Amino acid sequence: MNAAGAIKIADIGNYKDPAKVYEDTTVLNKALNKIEEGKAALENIYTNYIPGYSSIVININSLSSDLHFSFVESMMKSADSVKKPETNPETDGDTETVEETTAAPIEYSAVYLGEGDGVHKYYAIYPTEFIDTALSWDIDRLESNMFEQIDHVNRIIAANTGVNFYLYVGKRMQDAEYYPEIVKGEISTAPQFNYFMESIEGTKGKGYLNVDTIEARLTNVFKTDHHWSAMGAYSGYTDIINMISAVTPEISSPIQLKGLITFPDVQLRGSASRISSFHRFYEEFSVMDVDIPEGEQGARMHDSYDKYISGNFNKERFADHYELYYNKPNPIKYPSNTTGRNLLIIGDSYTWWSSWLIAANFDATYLYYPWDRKKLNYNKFIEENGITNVLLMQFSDRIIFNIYNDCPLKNIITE
Amino acid sequence: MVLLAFSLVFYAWGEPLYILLMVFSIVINYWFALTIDNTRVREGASKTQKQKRLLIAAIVANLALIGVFKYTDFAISSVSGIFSLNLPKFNIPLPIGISFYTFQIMSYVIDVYREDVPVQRDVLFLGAYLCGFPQLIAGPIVRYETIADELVNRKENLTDFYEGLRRFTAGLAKKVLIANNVAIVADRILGNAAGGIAAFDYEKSGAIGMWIAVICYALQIYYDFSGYSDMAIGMGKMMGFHYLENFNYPYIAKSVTDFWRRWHISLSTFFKDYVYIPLGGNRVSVPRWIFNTMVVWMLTGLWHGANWTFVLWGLYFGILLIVEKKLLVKFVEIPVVNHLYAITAFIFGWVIFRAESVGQIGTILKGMSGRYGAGSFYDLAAGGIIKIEYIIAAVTGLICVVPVSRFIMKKADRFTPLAFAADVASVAALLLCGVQLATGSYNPFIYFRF
Repeated sequence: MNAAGAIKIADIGNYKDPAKVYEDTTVLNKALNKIEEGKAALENIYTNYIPGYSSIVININSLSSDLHFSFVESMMKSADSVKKPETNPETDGDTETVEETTAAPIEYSAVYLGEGDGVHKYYAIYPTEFIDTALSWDIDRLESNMFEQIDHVNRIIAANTGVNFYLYVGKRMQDAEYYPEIVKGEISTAPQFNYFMESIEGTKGKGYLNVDTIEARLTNVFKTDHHWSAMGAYSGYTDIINMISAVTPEISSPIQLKGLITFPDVQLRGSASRISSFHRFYEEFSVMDVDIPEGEQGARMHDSYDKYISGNFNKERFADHYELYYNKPNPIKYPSNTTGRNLLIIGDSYTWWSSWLIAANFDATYLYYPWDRKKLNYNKFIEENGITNVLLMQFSDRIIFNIYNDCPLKNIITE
Repeated sequence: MVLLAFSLVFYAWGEPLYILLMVFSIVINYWFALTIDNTRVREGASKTQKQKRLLIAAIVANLALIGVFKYTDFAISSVSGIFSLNLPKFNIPLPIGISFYTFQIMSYVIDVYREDVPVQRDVLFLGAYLCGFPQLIAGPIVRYETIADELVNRKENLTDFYEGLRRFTAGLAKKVLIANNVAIVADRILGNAAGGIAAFDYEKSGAIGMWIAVICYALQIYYDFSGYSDMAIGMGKMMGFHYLENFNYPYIAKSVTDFWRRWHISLSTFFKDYVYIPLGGNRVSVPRWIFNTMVVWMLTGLWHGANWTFVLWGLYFGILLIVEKKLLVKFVEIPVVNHLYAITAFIFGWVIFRAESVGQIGTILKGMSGRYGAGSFYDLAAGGIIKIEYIIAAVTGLICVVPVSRFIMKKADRFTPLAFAADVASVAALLLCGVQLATGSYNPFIYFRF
């Protein structure tokens, strides 16, 4: 009926893992795991494909978030806490003395919106209208996962010391020390972030997306999406290329950014809006304006510029413009480049807005997404594809805390 | 056979491994009851020594089953605590509904021994009795005599189906629309270790937050459990079974005694018939009566959970009942005052019941008394703990603790438009439940840990 156009169903990506997982060591446990997978598969059908399910869920959750925000707004003490400067009315003859004024620090308030994905708490933050998150798990659970992730990453690095390994983390606002000043009542994961970064050994370089001030966070990360913005992605790109070229200068310096292209008709309500169903905050949608070399046919980065500039883009309220804008070629090859360097990126969705740009500095770039749950024979892949550089680049709650349990590094085989 | 098959599938859906335990329980209790009856027939006398030994063996076997799965780790941690040891626990998972179905099948064997019910010679019918899916997971604890005839000879009809469906819908609405929403408030203020929810900052909650949390918890546990009982009774009726009522508006009770005649009636009846009366009940000396009462309430507390807070909770009510019967006989006859007394008693009882440790009882009481400050409604709202839908759920819950629906349905019997409106309301409630379940993933069920 969907194919015939009689109804419209949509996969809303609301996948549930099996409720129980048994250790795969006995025949009984294997059978029980199959039963649990079957149950989860059945549930995933009706939670994702029943006609109208997704619209009902989205609209009702939006109404709920809206009502709640209005409810809190009505109790808000003050929406604007920026103090006006004081001026001295006395003057000396014809001379007017103008005193310098300093802006008082903004006092942020956060309204809890919900826990749409089960692992993050979403907060609407004002007076600067943006949405950010706190992890729902307690510290013990987070750290337990963190130690496992550290072991995996170090294992992968140690498996092949012939390649130059780099780490780049999409840092979150909660990983910064000032976070509790913005979202009062929540803790910062700065100690865990710092511990993770210090514990990774054997790399040629480590870096992270700068969100170390609120201004940097608002510049480098979307206001309504957990991904880096165009400026953030470019900033990450330059960090990465500078890090790599410091060791192997043949990959050249970063390609210059000409500016940002803004699509005025787009009201971006990104992942944070979508998952919390909070539609009140939105922002403009901008992408990088850069000139990159022509890549190999079939492995060329395409963007949706024409569609967006002509207004033929997806106009659904919570359309995922971040995901839709760029295609995702893999591998990406530049025959015109002669760096002698081939890159493997182990990534996630942060890769979508940076891989095509990073790849322009290499001869060939291969992408591996652990969330595909396909096994990667690490050393064999490196040998077969002439990999010289490896970049592990993921969002911090994934690489540090494995928060969605969807990017199993155990699938990267190093034995 | 069909009922048994679907009930086993229903149980296996949540517990594929422990279905074997359920089958074991059916078979072994079937054997015990049959052997007791066959022995009686052979010996030509009732309650002989052999029959008594079989009964004791059956009780021990059933209690051992529940003891191993539910109380092993509790016993280990208690011994560790008393003797300052660090004994390793087994971390045995608790099969869903084990407390309910074990007590249910024990009542059957005891009733066979007492000759209160005839033995069921068909193991499939006995299996259908034990694991009938409407009441399998969370009660009520159905006595065999209640449905013995219906197991074999029940007749479904449209009236029962319609009334059962309406009852089921009411139970679902209680659970999904009220209990689930107020549960969020209680859990987020008080914390919920099993659910991985940390308690809200006590200073931000303050007295306001603590009282809101405790009242919400009182509503949660009532609507959760009575809602499930309504669903069980409703579904049973749709299939031709007529289970007994398990709740009778307990929050309008005029005394603690009255409260326990209205709350979880099937459990209190079980303990009265199978523990209190065999111990002598109240037809003994006063010290012995006090002992009997405290034993029953200690066991009642322990049945609810493997934690000292539950034992304390049971003992709390045991003491209150003794004091009430001996000292407050006149007091509980004073109108309004008696209600306020009962409300106070069960509110503080729920504080003990809800606390995740003995220490947290003190924390909650301190919070309620204002030791952490008054708290701020704004902070609770900004923290997402108080939302409009939770307020609506709580207010509706508070209104419906009195027999509003019973009053309406009585009028509806004589006033057709009201009956129609009641049906429309049922359909609307069903749709709202569907929407709530679709949009939320929060569905704790308190009594599942039993």
